[in-house]
This record gives sequence, C-alpha cells and structure tokens, in this order.
Amino acid sequence: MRVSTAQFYIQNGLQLSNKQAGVNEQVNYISSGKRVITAKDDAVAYGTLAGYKNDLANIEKYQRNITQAENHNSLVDTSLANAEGIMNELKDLMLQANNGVRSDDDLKSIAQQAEHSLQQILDIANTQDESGSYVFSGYQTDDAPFVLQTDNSVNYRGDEGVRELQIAKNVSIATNQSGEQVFQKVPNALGDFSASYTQNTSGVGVENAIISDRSVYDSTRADFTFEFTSSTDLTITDGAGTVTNVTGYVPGEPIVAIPGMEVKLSGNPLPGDKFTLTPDQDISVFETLKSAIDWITKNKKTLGLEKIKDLFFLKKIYLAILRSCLSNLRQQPKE
Amino acid sequence: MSINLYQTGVSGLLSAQQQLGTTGHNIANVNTEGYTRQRAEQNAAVGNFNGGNFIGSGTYVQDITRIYDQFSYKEQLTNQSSLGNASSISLDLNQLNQVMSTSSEAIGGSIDRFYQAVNGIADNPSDIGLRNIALSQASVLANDFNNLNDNLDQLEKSTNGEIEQIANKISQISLELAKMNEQILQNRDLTQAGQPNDLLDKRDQLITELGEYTSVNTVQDANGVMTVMIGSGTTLVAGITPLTVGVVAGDPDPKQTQLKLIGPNSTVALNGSKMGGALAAKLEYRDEHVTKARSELNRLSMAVSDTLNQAQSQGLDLNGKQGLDIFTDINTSALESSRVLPSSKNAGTVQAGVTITDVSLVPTNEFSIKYDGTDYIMTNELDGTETTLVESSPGSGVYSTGFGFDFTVNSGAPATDDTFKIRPTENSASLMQVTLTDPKGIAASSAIGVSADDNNISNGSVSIVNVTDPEIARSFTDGTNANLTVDVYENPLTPGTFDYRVYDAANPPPAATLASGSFAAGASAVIDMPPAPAASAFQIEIGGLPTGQGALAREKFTISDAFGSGNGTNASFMASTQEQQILGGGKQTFSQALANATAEVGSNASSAEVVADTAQALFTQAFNRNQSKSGVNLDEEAANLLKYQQAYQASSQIISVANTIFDTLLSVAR
Repeated sequence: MRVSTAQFYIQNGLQLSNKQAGVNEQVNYISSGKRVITAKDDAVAYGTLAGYKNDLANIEKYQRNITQAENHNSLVDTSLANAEGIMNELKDLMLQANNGVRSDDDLKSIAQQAEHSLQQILDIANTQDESGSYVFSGYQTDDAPFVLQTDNSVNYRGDEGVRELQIAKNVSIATNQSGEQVFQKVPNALGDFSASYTQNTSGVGVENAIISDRSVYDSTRADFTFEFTSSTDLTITDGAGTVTNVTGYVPGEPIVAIPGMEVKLSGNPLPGDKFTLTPDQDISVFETLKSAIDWITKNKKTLGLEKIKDLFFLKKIYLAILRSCLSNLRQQPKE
Repeated sequence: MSINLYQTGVSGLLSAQQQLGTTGHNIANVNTEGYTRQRAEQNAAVGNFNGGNFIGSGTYVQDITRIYDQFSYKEQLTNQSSLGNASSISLDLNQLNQVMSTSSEAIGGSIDRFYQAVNGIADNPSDIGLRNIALSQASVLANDFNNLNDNLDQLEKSTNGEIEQIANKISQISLELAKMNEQILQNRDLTQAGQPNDLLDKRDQLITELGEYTSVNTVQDANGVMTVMIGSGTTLVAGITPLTVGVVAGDPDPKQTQLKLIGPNSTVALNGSKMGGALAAKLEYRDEHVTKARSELNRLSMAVSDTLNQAQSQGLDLNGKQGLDIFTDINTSALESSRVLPSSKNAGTVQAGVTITDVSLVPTNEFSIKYDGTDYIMTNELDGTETTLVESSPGSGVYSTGFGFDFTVNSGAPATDDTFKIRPTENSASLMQVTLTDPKGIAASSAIGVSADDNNISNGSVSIVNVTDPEIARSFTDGTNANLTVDVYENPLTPGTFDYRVYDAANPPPAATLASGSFAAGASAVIDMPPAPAASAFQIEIGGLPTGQGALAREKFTISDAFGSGNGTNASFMASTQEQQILGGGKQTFSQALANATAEVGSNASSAEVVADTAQALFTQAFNRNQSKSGVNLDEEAANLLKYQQAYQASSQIISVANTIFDTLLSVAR
C-alpha cells in the first residue's frame, strides 16, 4: 500500500505514545502494588473487593467486640470466683456454728465473721468496671445495685438488663450478668415454694414442695395453708378460702391433693401443726445470708431447748440453700 | 514546415515547469493538515494531419487535480465523528471513574469509622467520649457526601462549559464554511475545468474538524457549493448562509443546558443526543453518567440519614428522651420541593413536593408527571411505563406512587398538560448535615425490653418492633401497666394455632385484657401497644411456636421499662444497620450500594475505553486508506522532481535540436 509521509510519522508517533501510556499505566500498578486501583481496572473485581473489604471491616469489628466481651466477662468471672470463695468460708462458719458446744461468745464472733463475709459479697456485687460502671446492675450502671439496709437485708436497685455485643453476623453475646440473675435468683432448695410455720410442735418440716405439672397447677390459688387435724388427716386451704381435705396421710409419702402440686414432709406431724406454702421459685443470696446470720445470733438461747429439733432442720435448709447459691455462682457463664 | 519542433519543445518545457511547480507544491505542503496531493494532468496535443499522417505536436497540461477519493474521505469523516464521540466519553468517564473510586473509598471508610464509634457506644453506652467520637465521625461522613456531590456538580459545570465551547466552535466553523462556499463560487469559472484545489482542501479540513464535534453530512451542488448537515440531518450551512449553534438553559432543570440552532429568522431546538461526535458524548456523559452517579450518591446519603434517624427515634437518649435526628431529616420542605422540577411552560399554579415514604424502594432514575386534565399520569423514565396516580384520600393532594415516595400537591391548581420532572433523591447528599449536637442525645438505650419467664418451655419469641414513641412506650410499661405481660399457648382444639393475651400482671385475666387473639404456626402476631383507639407507640411481635404447657401454664413474657445509662441495645441496633440490606428493595447494604455505583461507573469507563480503542483503530484504517490515496509521499515527489527536471532538460534539448536544424538549413543557404 502507498504510504504517505505524514501518515508514516503520525502512525509512528501514535504508536510510541500508546506504548508510553501503557508503560505509565503499568508503573502505576507496580508502584501501588494493586491490580485494581480504580473501578475501571476491573469492575467485577472491584465489586468483589469492596465486599471483601466490607467483610474484613466487619470481622475487625467482631474481633474488637470479642476482646471487649472477653474483658467484661473475665471481670464477671473473677468477681464470681471471689464470691464463691467467700460462700465457701460462710459454709464453714455455718458448720462451726452448728456445733452444740459453741459458747455464746463463740457464736457472736462467728456471727460477726459472717457479717463481714456478707459485706464482702456485697462489695463484690457492687463491683465497678474500668469506666466506673457497676457491673451487676443491669442497665442502671450509674447506681450501686445492692444496698445494705439496717436489718442486714439487701435491696436490688438495678434491672434485668443484659448488654449484648455482636461477635458474628447473627451471633450476639452477653457482656454482663444482671445482679438479679446472679445474686437474686438462686433456685429454691425446697422446690417452687417456701414454707412459713405457724405452729410446729412435732418439728415436722417441708422437705420439698414442687409444681409437678404446670398444665394443671392453678397459680391463682396460692397461697396454701396446711393444717393437721390429726397425725394422718389434714386440710389445705387455698388463697381463695377453698378447703381441700386430705385423709390417711402416710409419713414420707407426698401430698398430691392440689392438682399439679407435690409436697413432701419430713418427720411425723402432730395435730395442730400448721404451715403455709407461698410460691417462691428463687431466693436471693443476701436473703439467705441474712437468715443464716439471724440463725446464728438467735441460736439456742432465744428459741429455747424444745425447738432444737426445728433448728437442726432449719440449719439443714440453710446449708442446702448455701450449696445451691454456690452452684448458681459456678454456673454463671464464663464466655 | 509542418512540424513545429520549437513549439513542441516549448510545450514540453511549459508542461515540465507546471509539473515541477505542482511537485514543489506537494513537497511544500507535505506537513499541511488536510492537504491533498495534486497532480498536473498532462495530455498530448492533437497531432497535425500531414500527408495522411497525424504528426504529434507536443503536450499540454490539461488540469491540475486533487488526488481525492470522496468515498474514502467520507469514510474517514464518519469514523472521525465516532472517534470524537468515543474518545470524548472515554476520557470523561475515566475522570468520573477516578472521582468515584477515590471518593467512594473515602465515604466507605467514613461509614466504617462511624459504625465503629456506634459499636463502641453499644459496648459502653454511658461514655460521653465515645458519643462525641460518633458525632464527629457522623459529620465527617456528611462532609464526605457533600464533597463528592460538589465534585459531581463541578464535573457537570465543566461539561456544560465544554458543551458551550463546542457549540461556539461549530458556529465558527459554520461561518467559515459559508465564506468558503462564497469564495469557491467566485473563484470558479464554470467554463474551465480547473478547480480551486487548495480552497477545497481547506473546506474539507473544516468539515473534518466539524466531524470531531458532531456527525456531518455534505452535499455538493454543480457549482461546487457545499450544503453541510450536522447530527441527524439538520442543515448547518446552506450555500452561503451559515446557521449557528447556541446553548440555552435547560427546562425544567436549568443546569442541563440544551442546544439550539439559530438561523437568521428562526431558532429551533436541537436534540443533542442525536448530534453524534463529541457533542453527543458530552451530553450523554452529563445527562446519563454524572446524573446516575449523583442520584446513586443522593440515594445512599438519604438511606444513611433515614436509617440512622429512624433508629435514633426508636430509642432513648441519656436523658430519657426520644432520640432526635442525627442527620438532616430527609423530608424537610426544602428537600421535598427540590425533588419536583416544574416545567417553565406550566400554565397551572401547582406547588408540589415529593415525600419519601420508604427509602428501600426509591429508584435512582427520574420520573415525569403530566396532568392530562383529570389525572396526574406518571411516566417512569427508565422503562417508559405509565401509571395514573390515585389520590390516597380525596382532597388530601397526596398521590402514592409505589416507588417509595408520594407526590404531594401542596397548593395551587394544575392546568392541562402541565408537566413535572421528579427526581426522588435530589439534593440529599448536598444538604446532608449533622443536626445532633449534644453527645448525650445519641439514643443508645432502648425504651422497653422483653424477658421470658423461667418456666417457658418452647421456642416462642416475643420482640418489640416499630417503636414510634419510646417515651410513651416506656411510661406505658412502667406506669400505666406495671408489668405488661404477654402469654401464649397452643389452642388444644385447633393445634397449630396459638392464642395470645396481653395484660397487666397486676390485673390478670379474667379481668379484661389489653389485647388478645391468635396466630397460626409459621406466622406471627403483631400487636399495637397501647391498643387502639390510643395512638400506637410500639408493637409486640409474637412468633415461633410458643406451645406452652396448657391453659394454666402458658408461655409468659414480661415487657418492662429498660431505660438505663448502661443500656446500649438501641446503639447495638444502630450498629447492626451497617450490615442490613436496605437499598434497592432490601438487597444492598450501604457499602454494597456504594461499591455497586462505583463499579458501574468503572465498567462504563472500561467499556467506553474499549469502544474508543475500536473507534481509534477504525479511524486509523480509514485515515490510512485516505492517506494512501491523497497523502504526499516525499520519496515519490523526489522521484517526480527528478523526472520532471529531466523532462525539462530534454524539452530544452528539443529546442536546441530545432535550433541546430535551423542553423544547418541556414548554412546550406549561406
């Protein structure tokens, strides 16, 4: 083909500049170390890369959250481990107090020690984290959740709030445990009810009172008052005043007269023994401690020798309760 | 003497001279753009009839012609237009691609950092420092949106400038062409064959230049006068009458300038998109690519603002008040009215606005609404589908569209054929601001929470949704009803149906409940609280399979006040919106939407580059073909120079021979 001089120069110039542009572009890729600098370089890859970047950012977020959750939970963990130690000490104290040969002074000092332990547990329950927030107060992190009253009882002022952090796309993890959950919701050793004794001449005790079948148990009927008319017959009066008669009670056999409810007694009842069962699934650590301290300070002396059997039984209950407190503390999740 | 050797020699000399002149002219113009090589067409003079024979009498130059092939020239011209178009849009898209790529990286980073801060608040809701960080990150984010929008505005502005320049250039060329036509008309003697070659070259060169800006068609009449048509057949130069191209403000959007063809007596609107060449490329770039990128950006900023504002409004701030908007409300009256662009030709007095009702449904394309005398007819500019808008309730002036926005006639009456252009996302990015100033105002706390009873046995769930008034929700569960309880159990008569009741635990059934009903397995029940007729402040959603153990042992959930400085539930929810697929009908997260918008520009840019490369190759081929015909080759001309020099010398030799012959004759006579 005929080639004009201008064409010759234009073509060569064009090709040179094309090659130069290509080199320039490659230098850009090399110096950035990236194949896709702008979306134009590879639009499909750009979308994918943006997705990866997004995922990375999310993973970073999750990792940060995991670290945070670990920190928070290890604080809870340590606090609970401390509380567990103190509860163990308290259990020992209770065993010591149970010894019949203890003098009043001994009991007094044991009671003092127990009060100290209560104070310690209270301190633990009011633990604050690095930013001054109370760990066990649910969402009410500005206020101390547990406040000791003059009668040694403890009020919970927090709520049930549990903060959660996202640690994966659809997985959130709790970073705190509410004080209510940890210290106030200890499973009742008796079952689903607590008993209060109006008259107890025989020393009969409620060993266990549970709701065996919720589908037939009518919660609106509570409370139930059990009164023995003889050693084998009793009446159960519910909250509305309806009376159920039970005859032929055999000691050791459960009383199942109320639908869905099962009550087991220990000892042999005497006529006139009377107690009331109130629904009470959970009890509080502090309540238990208060009762335990009360028991120690009020021991034998004030109650009189005839009640010793009763006390032995109560002691057994407290120990059981303490045990369940301990197991409750152990069960707290340690993420 | 019948053979005039002298004259033959002289004719050879003269022809060789002309040939040398033409060759010289070619050589001199080797670098002249648009120059077409010329050739002196030499013919033998008709011989003298003598003694039954024709005896040659020399030569003459019949014509000096351009070696010009109008077909290959037109091919080059056509390719010139497509090259102008392709390379212009490729260059522009490249720029847009760079702007979008860098800016979207910045915005993506800002979104990440903002959400990091919100996530921090979820972990530690009472920390004012973290809240301050979140607010400052929010303003960085808003700033990034403003900046990118400014960049796009700038691109639009400079494109408008370029369009105006091109229009001026076209007008200038038009004037020159008309003048050239006049000159050609005057220079050309119709009785002679000779053409004003260099004038023709110059005119073609002007046409070539014009071809870069717009597609050109030419028709030449018998007098050599050229009629020039641009675009799809609009006459720019008619003989010696030039028309010019002007730019006028667009209607209804003045920033989208339009082209007009201005003649001596009339002005006609030009359809810019059909002009071809760089002009059409500029218009396409401005009206499609920049506009699309900007509405994607606007939609994103709108979605971010709305999602976070909504999340704010569901929660309580550190002072126990409903969270205020973090970003500018997406439905301020200024924004609403800016989304409607009424045509300047409207005869009616309608003042209208567009109210966004569901960001996830809002598309990025434009709509137009026309009043046909009785109804407003909306046309979707994307696919041309038409819908007749129906007023939500008669007299309200609110027309729901099904695209996540309402067309609202605020005042005035329409006239038939009034039109409105709707841009549902207009101005969102440019007007995005952080309106929350108090760090305590971030609504990290949820108002109420659900706790399941310990005795629940199944996987039923109760959740709080659509909190519209957290303050009332809180007082409703804290004061009005001390312990709002939801209980559910599977109806023994119709298994698979779950009966629920909502009541105050202090006043349980058989007292009247607040709400009761049932739902089927797999479905869920959504209950307004407080119940009608009071305005709903939140909704309870019951789902799953809450079988329960019986009528006496139902699955129980307690809803109670959850406000507290340590409550970060709502901040958690806010943080989770980062991963929520909100845009495009619930298919894209914010960063996905951003990446998609950028990738789209990127893929447009890269395909435009491929098109430009192809156009360049096609143009090069056409140029080569044209050059191989019409271009000057110096080697060839050098040979010609020698050739014609020799011819000149030989011709002078003829004269010398004639002279010798004459001398010989004279000496015989002497």
